[in-house]
Amino acid sequence: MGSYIKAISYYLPETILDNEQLSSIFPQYSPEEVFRRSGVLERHISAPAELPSDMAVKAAQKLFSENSINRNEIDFLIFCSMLLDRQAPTTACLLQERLGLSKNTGALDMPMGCSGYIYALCLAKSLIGSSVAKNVLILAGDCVTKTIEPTDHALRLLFGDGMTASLVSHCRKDEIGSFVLGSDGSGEKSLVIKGNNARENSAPEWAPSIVSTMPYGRLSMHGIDVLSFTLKTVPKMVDDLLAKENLTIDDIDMFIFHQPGGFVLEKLQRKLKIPPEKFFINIQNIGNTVSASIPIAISNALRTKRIKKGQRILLAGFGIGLSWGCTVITI
Amino acid sequence: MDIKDFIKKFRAEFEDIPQGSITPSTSIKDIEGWGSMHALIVVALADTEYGVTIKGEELKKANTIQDLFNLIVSQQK
Repeated sequence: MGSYIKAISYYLPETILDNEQLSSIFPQYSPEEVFRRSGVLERHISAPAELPSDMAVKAAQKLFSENSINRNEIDFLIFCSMLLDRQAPTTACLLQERLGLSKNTGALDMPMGCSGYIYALCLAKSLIGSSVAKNVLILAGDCVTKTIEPTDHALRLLFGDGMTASLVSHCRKDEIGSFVLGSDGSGEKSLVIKGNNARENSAPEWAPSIVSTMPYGRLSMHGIDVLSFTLKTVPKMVDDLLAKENLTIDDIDMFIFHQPGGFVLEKLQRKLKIPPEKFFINIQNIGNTVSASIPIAISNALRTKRIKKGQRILLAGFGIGLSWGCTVITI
Repeated sequence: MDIKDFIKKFRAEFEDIPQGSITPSTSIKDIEGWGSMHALIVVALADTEYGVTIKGEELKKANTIQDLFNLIVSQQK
């Protein structure tokens, strides 16, 4: 049994943080400098009491109404987010109830970041290919701004909140190709959410200081190490996937990567020698939305007719873990 | 690769640096306006032009343009 992405919808929180506001918080940067450093004009910020699961309900409702999808046909739910409602039960189980899905729905959390959407697609394809499921709902996104310390300008410039809902369904011909995946836990410290978790609670001498001010934990990023990882890993995985699929860059109609920041994207495009018109940039109005970035980009590329049905798109996600993955789809 | 070629590429990446002001003995942190963004640009330059991955810890130890050049050369081996 083959599989394809049948529909994507997304939800962005109402509150916007633009470069004028950031410039008034961090007077060392003009609004133009904020844009030069990030490639971002504005980011959406979740409300104080709004969690990824709350945004997931909204994104899923949009998916059902915008695409006339019958929720009773969904038989598997993957919730991909780094901020879960509880340690247990899984947030995916809670979402089964909140979305009114069938009790025959398998429900699974995937606490992954920027590579999460690729992993979720891989799992969805595998579940359908092995006849476990026919219609897999992927809810992917985050409230990453809740984990950013207010004075951390490097992160506040880049990140925004957002949530996506994708339906991966069965079909005769497989429209989701092979995958290249990878992980490297030795990069834990280069990108990590510190604070309220078992590892740090087991060594409590310093944890409470973070927990008291940052209840969701604190995102810490070593920009140089993350950039080095990205430039080293992403081109190689793209090359490996193209070789595996017996394709070249010319055979791909559009490259849609995770959107970490304007600078990194430009360097990746140059290193991979991808023509700019085939390299989709979708960061200006949302920033880095973690696992929501790829599905939002696909949706916007379709809406603005940068891609058309039937075209071959290469998707690549990479980040916290460290973790990475890419695949080729026919949209 | 020689250091002249490296300085040429270094200058090309930093449009905001006055031409001619960079020599092997230039202290990196004394370059006007030097900041975290410039460090990222150096890492990207090392990767795309020389195929070398630089770690944050190693970059911190480099004080001059010559140190930076030596770091890249040592990683190429």
